Amino acid sequence: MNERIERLRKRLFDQSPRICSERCQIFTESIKKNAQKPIAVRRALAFHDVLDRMTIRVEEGELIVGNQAKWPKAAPIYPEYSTDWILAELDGKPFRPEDRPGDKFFIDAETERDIRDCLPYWEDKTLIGHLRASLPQEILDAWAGGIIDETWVVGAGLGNEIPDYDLVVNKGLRSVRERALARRAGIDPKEPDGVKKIFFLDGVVTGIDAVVNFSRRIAVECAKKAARAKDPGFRRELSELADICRRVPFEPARTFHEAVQSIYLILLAVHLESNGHAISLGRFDQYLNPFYERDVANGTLARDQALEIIECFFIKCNELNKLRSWPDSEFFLGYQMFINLAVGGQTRDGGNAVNETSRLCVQACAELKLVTPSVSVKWFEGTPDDFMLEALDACIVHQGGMPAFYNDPAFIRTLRDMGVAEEDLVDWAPDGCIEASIPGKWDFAAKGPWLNVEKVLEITLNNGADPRTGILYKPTARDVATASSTREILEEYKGQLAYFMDLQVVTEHANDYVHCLYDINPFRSALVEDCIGRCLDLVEGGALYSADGGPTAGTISAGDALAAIEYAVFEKKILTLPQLLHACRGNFGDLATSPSGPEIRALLRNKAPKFGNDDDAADAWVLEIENYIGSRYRHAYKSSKYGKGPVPCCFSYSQTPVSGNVAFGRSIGATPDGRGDGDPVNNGISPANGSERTGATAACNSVGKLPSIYFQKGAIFNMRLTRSAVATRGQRKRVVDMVKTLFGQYAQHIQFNVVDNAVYRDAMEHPEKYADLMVRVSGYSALFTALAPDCQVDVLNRLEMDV
Amino acid sequence: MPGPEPLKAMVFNIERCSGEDGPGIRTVAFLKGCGLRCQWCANPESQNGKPEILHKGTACADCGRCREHCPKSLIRRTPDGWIAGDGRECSLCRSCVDACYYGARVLLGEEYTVEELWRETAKDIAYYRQSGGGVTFSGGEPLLQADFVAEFGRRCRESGITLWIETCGQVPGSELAKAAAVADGIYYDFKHVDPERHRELTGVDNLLIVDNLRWLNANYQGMLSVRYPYVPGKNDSAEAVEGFVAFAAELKNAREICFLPYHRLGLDKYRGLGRKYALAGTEPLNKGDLAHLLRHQKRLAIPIRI
Repeated sequence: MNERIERLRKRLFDQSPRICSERCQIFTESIKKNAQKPIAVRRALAFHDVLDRMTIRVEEGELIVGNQAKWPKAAPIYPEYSTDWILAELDGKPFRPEDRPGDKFFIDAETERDIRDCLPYWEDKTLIGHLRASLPQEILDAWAGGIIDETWVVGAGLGNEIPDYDLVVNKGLRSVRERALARRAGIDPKEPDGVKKIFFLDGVVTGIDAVVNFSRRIAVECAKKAARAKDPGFRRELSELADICRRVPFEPARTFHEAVQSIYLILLAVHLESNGHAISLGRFDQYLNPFYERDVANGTLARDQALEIIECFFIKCNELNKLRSWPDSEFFLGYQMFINLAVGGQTRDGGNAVNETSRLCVQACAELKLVTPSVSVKWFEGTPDDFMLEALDACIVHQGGMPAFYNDPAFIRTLRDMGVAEEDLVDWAPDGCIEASIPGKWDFAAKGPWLNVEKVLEITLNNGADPRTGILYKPTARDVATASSTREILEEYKGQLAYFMDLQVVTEHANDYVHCLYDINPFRSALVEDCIGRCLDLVEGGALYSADGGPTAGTISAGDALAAIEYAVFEKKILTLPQLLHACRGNFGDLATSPSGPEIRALLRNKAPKFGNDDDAADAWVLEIENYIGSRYRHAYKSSKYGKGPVPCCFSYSQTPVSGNVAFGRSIGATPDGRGDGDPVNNGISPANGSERTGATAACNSVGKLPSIYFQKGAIFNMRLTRSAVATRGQRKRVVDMVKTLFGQYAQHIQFNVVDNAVYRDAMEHPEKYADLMVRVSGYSALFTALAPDCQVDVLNRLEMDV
Repeated sequence: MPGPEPLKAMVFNIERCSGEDGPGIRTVAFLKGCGLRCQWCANPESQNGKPEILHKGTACADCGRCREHCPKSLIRRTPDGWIAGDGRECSLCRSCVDACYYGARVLLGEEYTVEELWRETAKDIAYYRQSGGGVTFSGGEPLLQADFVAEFGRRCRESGITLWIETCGQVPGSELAKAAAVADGIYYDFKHVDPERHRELTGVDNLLIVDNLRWLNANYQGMLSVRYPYVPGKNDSAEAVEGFVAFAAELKNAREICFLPYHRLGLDKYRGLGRKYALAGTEPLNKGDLAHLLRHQKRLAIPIRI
């Protein structure tokens, strides 16, 4: 890290996250002004107005320029999605933004007044309001009960997509605009939907013009700053940046620097059109490296300069921010934008795709130790061990689980099974946490309500009612307390899962319906094939590929619970089922029973088999649930886009709970796996806290048994490594060998937290000393000190594994 | 007609994914029973060849269920926990183990046939193959069950994985030879060069151990690593170290001499077995404390590792 990067990095950390009102004000005014225009045009015009009027900031020393808000790390407001919570939080319910237990945001008085002035207009016009009004009562009940939850999808924009950066850097927005105009010229407005198609394409052109205007405003600001710069070095850099921004992203990039700047402007623009998160970068090393090689070959770029540009870009990615409601923040703690960046993998002819840009990204990741972008290494049989070791070394330095490792063959197997074309398979890239997408061809890699899998088990064990609220959802066929085998309970559980999964699917259909009416985003749609050809927004079915599915939490814990029932009730006959259910309902606190509540809990925790130990007595139950959920999503449902063009339009299983395993755990009472009332469920497909007792390979083998064929939307496997276990190159080689063996079993992913517990304990006591301490909570890295205390404790409780 | 009894070994622990006991990713099978009684032994549960019950004080919730469930009322509460004792024989009926919900009582020592142990260790065979790893026999003294080890070693050979052995050398030469024929590597522990002092520290003199090590040096084709547990006040005198180095200078076919810093991580297990630990007052060492031993390197043909 050179002096410039050190300074820019420090400036980033010195900046407090704030709330910015500009986008909210300009957008609201524009939407009011164009109230009767068609939605595609109306939103495109508002997008144009925002990009035309917002403040432009350029700082001396930056090599990549552009801004999302008035200040770095400030979050704009997107009132069209949801507003109730903004007003409530400004009134201190449950917390003022600056007083939250985690992910705090500061707001000045003027900003607060501006936002309060805008919000009344939106009171009856938000997406979430429209959706909730269209949902039947049983879905609202399940949402309120913390069983399914669509807040993350509809409380903000739809996200989890990867624009076609390859197209932008090589052909420029000019080519997209020309294509849209040509398409428009071929439409007869008298044909069915012809008028609607024209509206959409007009939106596309307006959106592209908005972004080109934005880049030229930035160029003007660079030129202005250059004229005032005292230092001749800064003057030269700023003049160059002015030239670059006058050219890209409208024109194709000619140099490495132009290409990276072009990518950043697209990233910014997509984040300003809507605030869906997880707008990822795809195969960054693949579309960028030809520029690197060309510049190096003609002597205009040195490796160090390329590294500097990439590091500036990484820092700029961390200036983006998003304000979520506090309850929603609890699922995504750590100021996360989920900008995923893939490196490595294979070329279309099956060769090793690792190149110098891949290595630069890994190096930047280690040097900068930032939250985003999430650097993801795609491994296949041809990936050199050297590169894996380089990535592991970076991970040890980063301390926050980055880079993470992804199994190319496993994802390719899944995507092929879903109908992705052969020529697209190797280009898959993780989006957001880990969801597999085909860059520039897939709409939303993740979209759909959460499912609280272990909560559904609790409801099953209470015959279909939530013991917290007394609400009866769907009665079980029989009184579960009289079941004569664990399998009978499993069958009832499947029935309950089906009920709530049905509700998820209905929610998602309703969600798509309201988005089609109110949330058309032509600019970002234009960067995904084949939205322009079909004249459809992503949400209307414009993309080549589409599959829905929201994150789930707690499948492993639920499997452990069934394994514990089998062990304690049916196999060892230590407890009766009513005894066990009584103990759970009383949170293992009843001292009058024999065995007592605490003794029952100890039995369940210490003696019952647990997933993560390569023990089929536990793993088989997990597998039953995994197969049921995975297969049902894949085969029993169709998304709203089915028949409109995209394939396969099924639902997919996601086990990427981020910090949702803590948030969802809070709504679940005590369970037979020995989990206490309100405690977190397991994270992703990682074994539950404290249950890995047989070593890392055993945990890997348990994970390797899971049906990853269903896991298009990813399944997070976290493993903590002690620093002493990766001290020598021989030890690190062993870790790489373990990863390769795990991947040989078609496991999809593994990420390592390499840190000692003492560091985290100290960080809880002295957060000021650890402002940049990272942790990989799940599928993403976060600042440890930004997490709420109970989430911090969850991280601490993860068992350290000796590899 | 029933065939011959299959070979069985008494195993008290199987540790997967070990990184310290040979190359690559390994599983270590700890066999029970040892001819030495080293004062510093970190695995006291390994010494006796028969199963026994260990009490884990840190897991114990002090509920007393173990006492309630012992059919012979052998279990007493002592300052070190709930220990079976009082001079009467425990029949290892497992009642107390099953009764303990906290996992604080563990029965150590289970018989495995070669096939059973193979099945258990083969769970990680893909990791061994990827990393050049395999299975390591430790103990106790695994070569007290050398026929089993040799049979198991043939199984490893057939499957293309490596077998390593950790031995103290206190076994008949014929037994050592059986194992040496199948082992890819041997860690050979050496405690003290003086026979009398060796007897004081371990219960037996070192004559057999010295002979066996010389035999391996002369005949063994695999990787031989000689380990010297460096224990304060026991074998760390200048005289003892000099003597060992002089002997080690003969060992031209060994791969390395490795000094191991003393630790007392076995202390809890002594408590849990109701036994006294002779070195309770001895402070543990770390690798840095042994750095001075590297000065002996010039007298040796093979490298010293700490």
